[in-house]
Amino acid sequence: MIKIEKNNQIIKVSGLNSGMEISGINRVFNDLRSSLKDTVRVEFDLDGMSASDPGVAVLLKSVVTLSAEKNFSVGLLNLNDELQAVLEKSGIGKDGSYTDIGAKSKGPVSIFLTLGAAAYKFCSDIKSIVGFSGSILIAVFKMIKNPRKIPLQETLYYIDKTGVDAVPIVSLICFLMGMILGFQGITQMKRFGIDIYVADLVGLGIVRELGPLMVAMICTGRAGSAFAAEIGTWKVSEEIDALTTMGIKPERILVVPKIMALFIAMPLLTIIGDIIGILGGTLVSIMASDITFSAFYGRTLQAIEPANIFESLLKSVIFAVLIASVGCLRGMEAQNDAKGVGRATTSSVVSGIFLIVIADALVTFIYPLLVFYITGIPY
Amino acid sequence: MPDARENVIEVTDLTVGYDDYVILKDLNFSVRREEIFVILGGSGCGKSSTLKHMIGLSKPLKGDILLKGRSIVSATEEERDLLTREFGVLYQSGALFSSLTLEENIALPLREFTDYSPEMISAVAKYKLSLVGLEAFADFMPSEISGGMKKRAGLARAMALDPEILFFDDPSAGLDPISSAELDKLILELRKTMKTTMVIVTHELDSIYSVADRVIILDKEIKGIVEEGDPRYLRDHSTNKWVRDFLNRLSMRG
Repeated sequence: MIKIEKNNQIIKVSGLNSGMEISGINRVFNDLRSSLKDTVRVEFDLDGMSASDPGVAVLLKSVVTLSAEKNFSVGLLNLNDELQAVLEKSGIGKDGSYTDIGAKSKGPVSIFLTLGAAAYKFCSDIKSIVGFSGSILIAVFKMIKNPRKIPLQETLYYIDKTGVDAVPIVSLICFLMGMILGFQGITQMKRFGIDIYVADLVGLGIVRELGPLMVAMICTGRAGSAFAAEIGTWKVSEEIDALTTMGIKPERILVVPKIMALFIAMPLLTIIGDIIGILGGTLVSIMASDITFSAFYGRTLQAIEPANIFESLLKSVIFAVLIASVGCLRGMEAQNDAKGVGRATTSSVVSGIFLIVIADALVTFIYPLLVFYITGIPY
Repeated sequence: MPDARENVIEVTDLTVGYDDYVILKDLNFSVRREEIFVILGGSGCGKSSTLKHMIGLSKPLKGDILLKGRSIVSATEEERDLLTREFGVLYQSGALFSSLTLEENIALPLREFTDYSPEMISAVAKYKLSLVGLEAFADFMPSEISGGMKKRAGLARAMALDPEILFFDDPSAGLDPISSAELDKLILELRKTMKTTMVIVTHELDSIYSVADRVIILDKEIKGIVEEGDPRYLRDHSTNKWVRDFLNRLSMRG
């Protein structure tokens, strides 16, 4: 929006948008001329203007010509070098026909303003997450009431894409994690002669923590980002609008199958990851020490309790819901251009990892209390 | 030109804008049954935003929009879902669901809102595709067909539930003149066979003269309707010089 403000004999013009057409220039010029009475100075804010906007040069030239006639001075704010060169070519500037006021001082950014803006963004993020979860819950409840509407085919498709296709990478990562953990443990424990307890370290470490966490990280990168990109693209190509105006809730068609798929796929992946991780730890342990396979196997079975396996699964389903929801939410929020889709994808990964770590910490601390409360046995 | 046909769409005091920024103020117009009604204007005048309000995708700052006597502005979510089945929308890009074939695209609303058997749904979808001349492409994915075909497929999907009103968002955007003329011909044919009321948002003058019964011309300077009537009549007889120039392609106020 072009703004022409008059204040104390000074007229300030701002918001000259790029690519101004001749009609626009005429209008600004006429508006300016009609408000010239008693004016001693006209200031233009050229913020964001470039040399490729010939319209501005034309406008400024006309105003400078007028200024000699009507006796006022011209000031230019935020004038950049390119535009200055263009102005010089059109014959203004060299003779001091305007003054360059330089850049507007932005001033030091207050820490309170930054903090406030961040807090505001955080709160509006929370608000959108809560709203989004609500609409998904409603969609799920409606589906339970009318099971015919459960998008089974899509769910299976996404289980295949996010679950089955992820098995090789999950296996590889978890195998290596198990080996690393086993090796780090055995080199230390050997010195104290307690190398058999590496089985506890590897077993519990993988099942309680690293298994679900590594699977979640892989799924954030593979599935969460893909969800955000897919839904973001749907949004850009008006497909979400098309669904809405058909009276179909986009959440039901687009979001619920993805959440259901991850909800089913991730615990399964976690079980695979746990087993293969322990295998990796076993391999490195029996190679780096005198422990036999059967001894290690026996110790592992002793170390891992059902409650540990349940913790693994609990974490994985919580992570699954977080990853899928954040991915879909970011996709839904994508701005309507290609850049928007990219930003949505990045943001889905970043906030996905953030939420996973927070949730992981909460579950890790609360779960032992819960187990103790329910069973009476210290965890 | 008085007309005895009833109004299918009535827009009263509609103010279009976002937050504090008003794009169009106090629009009043109505669309009669079986009419091809065109909303015309230069880029940035708010014609697409007006359409978004009419199909319930955004809330107006003020005013009301009645579709067949029922308000889409004050409708609850359930009412709006019901109301959306009364109309179909053809989006600028066609907005076909990219993961589904053309036939599945058209079958989706049928699966959602009818109790037809799968065979019946497939038959209806194929019939709708044949209406737009795409019966041979039923199993194609949207990415495998041309822009003009996408629009026609989008039109077939918009008609899936036999709506009484069809909205078109810039149907000629991104089309060459021949495909664009074909689409216009299709629009006229469909009106004749399906008796549909059509609302078209465009800036393409050629297609206006061939399809429009009535047109409103929006302008961003006065933030409202400059002129309303038969475009062929307005072109030569409008009292507003700018409208005459605009319709004669002499000026396009950007």
